[in-house]
Amino acid sequence: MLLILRTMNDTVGDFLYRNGTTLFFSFFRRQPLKLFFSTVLMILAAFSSMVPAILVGKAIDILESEGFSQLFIFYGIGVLISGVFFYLISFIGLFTFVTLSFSFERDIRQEYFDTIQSHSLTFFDEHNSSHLLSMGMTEISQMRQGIVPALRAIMQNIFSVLFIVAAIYSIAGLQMTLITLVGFIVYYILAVYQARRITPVRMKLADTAAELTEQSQEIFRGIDVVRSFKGTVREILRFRKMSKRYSDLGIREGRMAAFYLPNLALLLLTAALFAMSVNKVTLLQMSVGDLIQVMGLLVTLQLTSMMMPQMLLFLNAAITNANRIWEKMNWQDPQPDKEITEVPEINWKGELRFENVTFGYVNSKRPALKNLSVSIPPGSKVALIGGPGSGKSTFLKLLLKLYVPQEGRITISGVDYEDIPHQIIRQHVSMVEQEVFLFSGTIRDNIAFARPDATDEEIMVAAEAAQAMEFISKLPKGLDTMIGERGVDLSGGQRQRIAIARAILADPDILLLDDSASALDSKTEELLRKALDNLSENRLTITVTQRLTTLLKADLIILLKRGSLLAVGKHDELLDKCMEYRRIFELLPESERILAKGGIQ
Amino acid sequence: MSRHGAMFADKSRTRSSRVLMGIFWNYLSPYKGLIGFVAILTLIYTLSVTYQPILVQQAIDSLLSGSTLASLISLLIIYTSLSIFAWLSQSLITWFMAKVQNELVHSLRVDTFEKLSEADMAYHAQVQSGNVTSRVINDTQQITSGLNVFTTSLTNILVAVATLSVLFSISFWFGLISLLALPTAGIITKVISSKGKERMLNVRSSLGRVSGKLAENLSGVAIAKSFNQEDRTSQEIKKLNDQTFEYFKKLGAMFTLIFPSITMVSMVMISLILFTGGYMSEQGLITSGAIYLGTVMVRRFLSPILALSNNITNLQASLAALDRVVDVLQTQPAVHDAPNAEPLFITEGEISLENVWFKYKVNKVASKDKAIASMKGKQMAGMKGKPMTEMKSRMTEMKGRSIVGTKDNPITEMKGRQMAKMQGHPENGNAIKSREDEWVLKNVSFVIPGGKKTALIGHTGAGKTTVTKLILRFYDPDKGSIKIDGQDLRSIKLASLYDSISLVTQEPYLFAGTILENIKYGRPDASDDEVYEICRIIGADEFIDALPDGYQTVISESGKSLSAGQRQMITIARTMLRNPKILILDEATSRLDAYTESLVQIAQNKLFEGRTTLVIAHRLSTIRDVDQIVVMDNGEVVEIGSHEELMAVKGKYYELYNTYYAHQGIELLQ
Ligand SMILES: Nc1ncnc2c1ncn2[C@@H]1O[C@H](COP(=O)(O)OP(=O)(O)O)[C@@H](O)[C@H]1O
Ligand SMILES: Nc1ncnc2c1ncn2[C@@H]1O[C@H](COP(=O)(O)OP(=O)(O)O)[C@@H](O)[C@H]1O
Ligand SMILES: [Mg+2]
Ligand SMILES: [Mg+2]
Repeated sequence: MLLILRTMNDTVGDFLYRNGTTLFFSFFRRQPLKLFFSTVLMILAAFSSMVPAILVGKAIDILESEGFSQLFIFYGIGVLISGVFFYLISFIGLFTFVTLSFSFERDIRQEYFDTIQSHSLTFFDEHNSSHLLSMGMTEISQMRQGIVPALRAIMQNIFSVLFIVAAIYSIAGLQMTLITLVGFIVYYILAVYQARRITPVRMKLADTAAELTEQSQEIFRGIDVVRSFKGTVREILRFRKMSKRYSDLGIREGRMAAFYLPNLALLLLTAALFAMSVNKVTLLQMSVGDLIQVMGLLVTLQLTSMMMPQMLLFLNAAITNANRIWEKMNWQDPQPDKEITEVPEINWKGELRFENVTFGYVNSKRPALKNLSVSIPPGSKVALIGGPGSGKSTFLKLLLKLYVPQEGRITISGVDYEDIPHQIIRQHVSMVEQEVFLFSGTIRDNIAFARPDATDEEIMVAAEAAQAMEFISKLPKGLDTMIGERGVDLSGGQRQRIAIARAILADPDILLLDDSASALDSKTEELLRKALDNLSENRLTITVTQRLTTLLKADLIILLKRGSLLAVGKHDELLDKCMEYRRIFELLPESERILAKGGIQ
Repeated sequence: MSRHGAMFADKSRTRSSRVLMGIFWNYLSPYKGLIGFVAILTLIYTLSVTYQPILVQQAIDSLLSGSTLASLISLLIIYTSLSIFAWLSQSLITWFMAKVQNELVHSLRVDTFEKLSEADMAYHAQVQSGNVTSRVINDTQQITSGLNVFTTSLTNILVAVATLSVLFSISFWFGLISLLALPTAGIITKVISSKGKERMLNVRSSLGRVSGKLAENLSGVAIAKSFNQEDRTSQEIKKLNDQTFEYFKKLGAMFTLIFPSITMVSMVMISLILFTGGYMSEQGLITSGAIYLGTVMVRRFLSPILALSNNITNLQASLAALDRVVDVLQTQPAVHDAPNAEPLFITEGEISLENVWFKYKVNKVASKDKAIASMKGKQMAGMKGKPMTEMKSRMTEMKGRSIVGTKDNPITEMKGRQMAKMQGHPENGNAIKSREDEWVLKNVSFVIPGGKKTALIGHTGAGKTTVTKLILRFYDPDKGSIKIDGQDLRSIKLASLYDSISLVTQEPYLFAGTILENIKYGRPDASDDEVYEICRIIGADEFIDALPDGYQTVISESGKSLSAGQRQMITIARTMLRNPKILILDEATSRLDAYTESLVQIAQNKLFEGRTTLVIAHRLSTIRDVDQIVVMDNGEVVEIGSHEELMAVKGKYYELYNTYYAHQGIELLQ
């Protein structure tokens, strides 16, 4: 599994794509054979869609010269056959191409998720998860729209144009061919120019729409706060302003799309070719049938060109999105993992040390942990305390190697964390996080999260030890009860106990408990405490806590303040030597009873 | 499913199309002039594009009869001018409609937003913010795109009629042949609306599942990493992704059939015209130019017909959206200022509840919204890959899609839900909301004395939060009354109520913006120094200072990088800064650690000395020093008194208090 992860990370994102545009055009490299096949069919389709225009012209010439003859009927049947032919190849070609585009969408979405998931948590701190989501869904869908319908239509259009130019050359000679060529070149230049002009406005429009939606949703989610703080009028005005901005932008975009010059160019080209053909017919250089052919071809082309402005915009948007997506995939970790060639032998039951550890989150100006040194003897029960924001959770996350310290080092039995792959660390260290996250699925899935192969027996034992079996067995489907989205709602205490069962089943050597400070009702609190006691048996445990009992029973208490170590020791020592600890302790409920009794001896 | 979907548009509507059109017309009335002008432009456009092929036909026929170039010059000039006319008129239509559409959607959007932000709390309690927003953003957009559909349909009808009359005027038979377009359009529309809808729905719900999973896995990325399960989450996505691909392929197969079929049918019609025309020309009934004209026109007739039948479905959707929006616009909130309402005048700050009965009722508008939400099924948020666009890529389409794209935000919705579950009801997880016929408050009477501190306690679900909602008049009691200093809440101006009372809610809620802005939310004119002072007093300054930009730190995703306790501290600061005459704290410190909680309590005692305060708390240790304790159980008040009095009674309070301390584990140590 280790290997799979590494190779996946390396090939996707790192080398495969030099930039967003390469990412987008990687479409052509994915299934070249199928692509070639469908392109050939598309060329044939473009050809056969032009055939009727030519046959109609020829037929009318025959009608003028021979009347309703066999040849005339032959041309008529030709139109019919080319219709059926077009139907068949067009469908096969289109369907192949469309399928390719859908598999492109699927593959990019997968690569996108796999790649960003492999980034470190720093990436997720830097990025808004709703934006990451909408990128993975909308923007990747729009990337696909850059292929189908956009690129497909553009390719078809270009094939048609080439075919028309060739046809005009054979019908009407060089002069009209040159004019046609110039006309199309002007058409394309104008079309591309126009698309470039509109694309940024469109992008801005989409962003404003997203903002508007977010704003509205935010207000309705907090409507009770808005109302009781008399914010309603203010919010309405703010929304009105934003909505007006959006509407103005929409008007601007709409007006940019009006007076679409490429269309005028195409219309004028048609008029010019019409006039020239008429002239040639009067000079007897062309037959009337030839004129009909030219006009028929141009009308056909106008039909296929109708969508061009839209398609060019789709293509532009797709490439812009591809670049945005590539940027996320190609994110460079400010603290990349060290290359580890050889995994050292580690005694996970050994001493755990922080040596002058300093760590700050990417966007913070102050480190969350400052020059922290502490040594934790094997098998200790450690209590970690400190005010909000003092760095307790950060301390635990470093132990999982979710982040890497900027200075100093963490060692286990003398081995530097830097030399241990994070996958190995996470096999031996587990955490019950502060705000429990459960995946949608059954309770069983969640408990067995770390070990999908766990037996029912093992799962039940873990649930039992976490004091969770009691409520699970009362649920209609027991362990198979769905939670999340479509399942039952669990209470905070229940969720925590499932998380504890999950950690117990992982059976770590080092256990980290970021205990939620939430006030639970007394019975739940009691159950939870029992569960935690069960969990911490026989292993090094570090608990963030405010529970009196845990403090009193701890082998070691680490007191943090603003990211620095304030004091470390046992309860009694700290009570004597650390004013700050005493102050905190005295404020805990019922501490006076214990202080009055002179501790627990 | 698709059947239901198709029927839904009509069934769910409570107003007839005529009524709805009337309402819509009212919104359009400022643009009547413009719309008239656009109609004229449409006519010009239709005539130009229809007349052009006729000119070509005339040219062909005169050329065949040996005309010279000179005699055709004027015809060529007219042809060119018509090209320019067509282009100009179409451009002007786009230009003017851009204004009409965008301004129209703006006014609808703002009106809807305004109405909804003033809607009853009963509505908001029952409808998820994502769905409310969908009303404001998507429905209004859908209505306006109906206008677009309407104008393009108008053009299509004109073009179809003009084309058909040209065809009939050439020859009766040409006209008949072109009528073949009708069954073709009928069949295609039928296929799209039956099979197409079903396959589209499959794609959408499948994409919805991908989106939901993606959202979940992005939120749970730290857990997946912590347990080394990255390839498992990746596989989960892969499975859904592959399934979606299969659905997409099915849909794609159907839609790729359409375009070739249309082309094939039009080629069949061309060859029929050719045969008929050739035969008739043999009899001298028709000219070669006319045959050419027939082949061009017959082709042109098919597309507006197809577009028209497609548009009918769109129009239905727009009407349904309009119906939903009108529901909102025409609903009067049940809780509103009485005509003779007076401002609240506080002397003591005494609140009295007198025989209050209350139950949560189903909100009418809300229940309809919920029906819609469940109809849309699990085709949750984030999915917008509307493959229909291949068929009808119109300008507005893309705009529409970008909005649909951001529709509900599964991440924030999910977070909201997770948070609510995690923290909302700590005890009774599987609790279902009270049933419609159940009283939540039963004859509740008690007085919160002015200037004193009262605590309200009881098990989860006892009705404590409901009491605070009634005091803030989010709901009116069904029986009985609530008075502040003798003034019934129903007789005072709501705004004046919120000037005097402030509530810290159970769920900490932060807005996007800086921490400073959030704290100043209730008093935007407060100075920064006041904010710093409040935060210092309650002990919030320590962690705020540690944030990257201190007070200027932008809260993202409802405070993702803050702990629940830190979020709660900010909401407490927000309320304290407001400095209300009456303060209500609904488990406001439940997410704080015990130490920080005591700091807040000390601050609160100092700042709100001598003001009416109502505290709801889980940690009983925090309420021992209050002046009065009200114990609720199951919607009723069971005991009232001071700590000592109630302990002496040895009733419910005594029981609650003892279990609370028993489980602190103190005696285990003794
Ligand atoms: N993901 C993050 N990005 C930026 N800053 C963070 C992040 N997580 C925590 N912090 C900041 O780091 C400091 C320590 O946080 P934390 O370890 O969570 O504290 P505690 O668990 O003691 O409450 C705080 O100032 C907090 O705001
Ligand atoms: N919006 C609502 N709709 C329907 N029932 C509700 C709603 N809010 C709360 N309830 C129900 O009302 C009862 C009292 O709830 P609440 O006042 O929140 O209790 P407490 O705050 O004491 O825990 C509970 O049964 C709860 O499920
Ligand atoms: Mg923490
Ligand atoms: Mg409550």
